[in-house]
Amino acid sequence: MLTIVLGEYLSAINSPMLTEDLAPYVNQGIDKVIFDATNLTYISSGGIRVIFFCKKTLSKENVEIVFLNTRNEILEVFDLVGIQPFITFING
Amino acid sequence: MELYDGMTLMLGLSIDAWITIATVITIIVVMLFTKVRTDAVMLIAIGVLFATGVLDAKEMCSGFSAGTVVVTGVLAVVMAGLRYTGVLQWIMKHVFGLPDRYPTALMRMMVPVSLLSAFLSNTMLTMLFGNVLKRWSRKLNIAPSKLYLPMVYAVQMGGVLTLIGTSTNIVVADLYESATGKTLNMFSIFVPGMLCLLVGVVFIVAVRRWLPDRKSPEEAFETATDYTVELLVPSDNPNIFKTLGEAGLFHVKGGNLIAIRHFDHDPAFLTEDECVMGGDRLVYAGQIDEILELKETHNLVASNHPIRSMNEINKNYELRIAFVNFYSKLIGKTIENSTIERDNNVILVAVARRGKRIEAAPREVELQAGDTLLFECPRKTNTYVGNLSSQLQFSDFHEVVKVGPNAIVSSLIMTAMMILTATNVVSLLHGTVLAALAMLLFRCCSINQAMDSVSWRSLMSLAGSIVLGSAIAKTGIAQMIAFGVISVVGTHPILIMLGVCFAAMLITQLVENVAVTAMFFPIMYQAAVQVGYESAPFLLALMIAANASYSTPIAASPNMLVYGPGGYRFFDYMRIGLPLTIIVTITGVAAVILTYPLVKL
Repeated sequence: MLTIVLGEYLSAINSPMLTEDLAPYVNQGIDKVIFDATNLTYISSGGIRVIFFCKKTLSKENVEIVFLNTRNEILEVFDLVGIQPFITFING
Repeated sequence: MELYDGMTLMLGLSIDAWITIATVITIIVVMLFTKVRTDAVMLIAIGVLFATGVLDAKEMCSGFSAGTVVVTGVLAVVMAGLRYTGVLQWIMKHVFGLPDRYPTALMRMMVPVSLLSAFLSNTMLTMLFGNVLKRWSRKLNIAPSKLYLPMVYAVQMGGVLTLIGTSTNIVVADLYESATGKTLNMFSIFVPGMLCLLVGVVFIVAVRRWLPDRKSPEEAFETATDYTVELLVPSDNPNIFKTLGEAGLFHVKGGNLIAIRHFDHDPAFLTEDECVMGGDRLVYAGQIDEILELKETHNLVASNHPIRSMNEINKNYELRIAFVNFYSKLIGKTIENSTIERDNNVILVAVARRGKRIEAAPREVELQAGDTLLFECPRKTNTYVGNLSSQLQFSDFHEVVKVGPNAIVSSLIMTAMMILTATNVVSLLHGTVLAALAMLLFRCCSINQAMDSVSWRSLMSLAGSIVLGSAIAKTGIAQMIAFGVISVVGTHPILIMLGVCFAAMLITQLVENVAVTAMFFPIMYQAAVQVGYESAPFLLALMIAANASYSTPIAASPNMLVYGPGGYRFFDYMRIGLPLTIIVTITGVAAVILTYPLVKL
C-alpha cells in the first residue's frame, strides 16, 4: 500500500514529477494507492494521468485507488472524465 | 534659400514639389508594406497635399468630378446589364468547347476572353470566368493552375484594346483631353494592343510548360479521403481509463488520429499510450464514412462542430470555400483569435494550404495569404459584404442567369454604345451614360444590381490617383523628371518612349496600375512636349506599359483573384509574368511607332 498526500494542485507542472517519484514502485507488489486529497482544490488532465499510471502501470494486477476527503470540485472533474467508477472515495 | 512663393528651392524644385515627392514615396511604401486600403491611402494623400497647400480646394476635388471616374462608374452599370441578362454566361458556355489538346484549350480560352475584355471590366470578367474555368479544367482534366494565369493575362492584354477596356486607358484618354483639348478615339489603341495580344498569346502558349501543374486547393476538401472529423468521448464510454491503443482508437480503419484534446489541454506528443478520458475530443483525418463508424463501434458521439461532407449539407447550413486574400487582416492570425466566426455566424471547418489539407486543428492554424478555408455558413449568407468580403475571397460565385429576350436588348445597347462612341457621334461620357440609362430603362438589371456592381473603392482610388497626377504635373516634378529622362537617354523620341515606359512598367508590378498611369501621364506628356513631338503615340505606349502588370499577384486585382483558386505561389507570377511584361512593353512601343509614325510639331 502506498499513501500519497496531495497538495493544493495536481497540475501539468507537478504531476510529471509525481509520476517520476512513483516510478521506483513499479512491479513492487503495490496493490493499493491512497491519495489524501484533503487539500486538493485543482486537478488537471495531467493529474488524471497520474491516477491512470497508478491504476495501470504500478502493477500487473488491479491496483485499488482510494481518495480521501475529496472536495466537490474534484469530484466534478472525476465525473466529467468518467473515472469515478475506478476510485473508492472515503471521507472523514 | 528663399521662402516659398513659387520660387525654386533645392535641386530646382519648390517645397510643394518636395512635399508631393515625399507623399508619392510614402504612398508607394504604404501600398507595398501595409494592408491599408488603396482608396484610403489615396484619400489621405490628397488630404495631406491639400493641408500643406500644394493643392487648393478646387484641385483637391477635381478627381471626383473627373470624366474618368464618372465613365468608370457608369460603365459598371452597363456591365451589370450584360451580366444579369445572361449575355456573358451565354458567350462563355458556347465559345470554349471541349478541345482535346492543352495548347488548343489555351487558345480557345485566351482569344475570346481577351476580346471580351476589350469592352468589359477586367475584374468582373476574371470573377465570371474563374468559375467557368474551374469546371472546364475538370472536364479537360487539366490543372486549374495551367489555365487561371493565362486567363488573367488574356484579360489584361485584351483590356488594352479599347479605351473602355480598362481604367488606365480611360485615365490616359481623359488626361490627354484635358491637356490638349483633343480626344482619343475608342479604338486608337486597338492595332498596337492587338499586336501585343498576339505576341503575348503566342508567348504564353510557347512557354506553357512554365505554368505550374498544381492540384486545385478546393480538391483538398472535395475527396472523401481528405476530411477531418472531430468525435467526443462521452463520460460513460467503456474505453475510459484505457490507452488509445488498447481502445482501438489510435489506428483506425480508413484514417488516422491526428489530435486528441483532453478537457483542459492537448498532449504535446500523441502516442498510442495516451490515456482516454471522458470529454476527450478526438480529431481524425481520413475517409469520412469509415471514421464515422467509430460512433457505433466505440460509443463516440459527434463533437460540437461536426464536419459534414460536401454532399451531406445540412438543411440550414451549407459549405462554402473561401481564400485568404493578400490584404486580409487574418494573415498571421488564427481563426480562434479572430471574431470573424462570431461576427458572421459562420464556422470554420477545415484549412488547406497549396492544395493540401493541413493536419492540425483548423481554428489554430496561423493563416497565410492564399490559404483555402472551408466554412459552414447559414444558407443565403451574403459573402460579398462586410468583413467577410474584405478579409476573404469566396470562390463559389455561382449565379445562374437564364438567357432571355433582354439578352438581345442588352447586347444591342452595348453595340450601339460602341458604334456611337467609336464614330465620335457622342463622347465616351455621353455614350456610357446613355447606355447605362437604357440598361435600367429596359430592365436589363435592377437598380440594386446596378448599384452593387459599382466598385466605390476603386472609384475613390481612381479619383485620388488623378489628383495625385495633377499635383505631380502642377509642381513641376513631371517636367523635372522628363528633363531627367532626356538627359539620360538623349532626345531620341523612341528612347524616351522606351525609358518612361520601362519605368512605368517596373512600378506597375508593385503599385496599382491606375495610380502608376496617373503619375506617369504628366511625365510622358512633358517628355514628348520637350522634344517637340505630338504626345498621343507616347501616351498610347504608356497605356500598354502601365497595363503590363503580370509579374506579381499584387500588381492588379485579376492577378490577386486567381492566386488562391489556382494554388499559385508568388514566384509563379514572376516566372512567366516578367518576360511577358518585357515582351509586351517592347512590342507595345514598336507597334505604336509602326501604327502612329512620330510627328515633330
